[in-house]
Amino acid sequence: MAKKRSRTDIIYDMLTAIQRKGGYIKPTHLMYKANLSYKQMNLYLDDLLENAVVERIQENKNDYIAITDKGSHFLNKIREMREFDSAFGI
Amino acid sequence: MAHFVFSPEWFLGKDILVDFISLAALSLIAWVTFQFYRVNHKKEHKLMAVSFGLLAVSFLAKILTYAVIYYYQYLHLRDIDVVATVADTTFHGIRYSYIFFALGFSFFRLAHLAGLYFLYSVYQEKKSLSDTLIILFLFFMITYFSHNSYFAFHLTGLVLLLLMTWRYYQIYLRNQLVTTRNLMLSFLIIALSQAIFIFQTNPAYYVAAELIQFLGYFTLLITFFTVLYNGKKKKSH
Repeated sequence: MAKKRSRTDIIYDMLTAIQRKGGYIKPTHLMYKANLSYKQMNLYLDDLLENAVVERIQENKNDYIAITDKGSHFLNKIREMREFDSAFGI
Repeated sequence: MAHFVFSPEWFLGKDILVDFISLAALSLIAWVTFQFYRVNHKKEHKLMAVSFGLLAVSFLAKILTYAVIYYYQYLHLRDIDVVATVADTTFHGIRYSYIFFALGFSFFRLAHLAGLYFLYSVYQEKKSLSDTLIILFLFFMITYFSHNSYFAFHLTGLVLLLLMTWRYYQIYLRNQLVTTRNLMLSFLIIALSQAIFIFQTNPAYYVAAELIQFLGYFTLLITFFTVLYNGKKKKSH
């Protein structure tokens, strides 16, 4: 059985999904790419917006979620941490 | 002159420099691991930050103790011996130096063993507080008896380090990562240095052990940087 994703794993999946899409993504796409329910996504998104890790932008009357510089830096930190966990076996 | 350390005279001070580099490596690892803990509040990261922090503090205690002892024993008191005017001063100087050395080195040994044990316990089942207290009490006893039988400390360190090496070997078998293999290698090198420290009454062995220990911590630092670099490099999983 697959291990339950931790909070950090979910944030990692969300930020990676945004970065893979070139730095911004539609909220519905983010929901699918990060394997989240609508309720879950909004919960995490509120937190990420509050901490300025992501921001809402508008383009051609569409809403997008964009990763900020702080978000990119945070994503790098999570990547380092995941690599550390793999190497140290924790 | 009272003889507290096993270093040959030509190596005095150089061993402090070698230990200082180990201190820098361990402090950096402790700091970064603590940053990881702040991100995800994972207890393994907290325990690792504490372990590497304790090891760093132990090296700091050793460096400070040696620095003061070297200054008084080999520079300050040597001048007094040459002048040979106040024999009493030399006696008191040596006595105070011994007390300082005993306290400083006890702290180094206790913090070092505790650091190694906490690092080992990252991979163990959750232990009760009483279990941990018993282990720390045993380390306290080992530290105490190491004043007369210094090898007790190095032998305990050797056992803990070999257990860590074995643990990383098992992890390597599972994940086949080069970084885990290098981690295992660095702990093996540090374990080797502890084995050589057992024979440090011969100054040549002391020098060899210090240099091998430095090599071990340096390998650990390089491995750590490689892990961080690999993490940054990976854009997706």
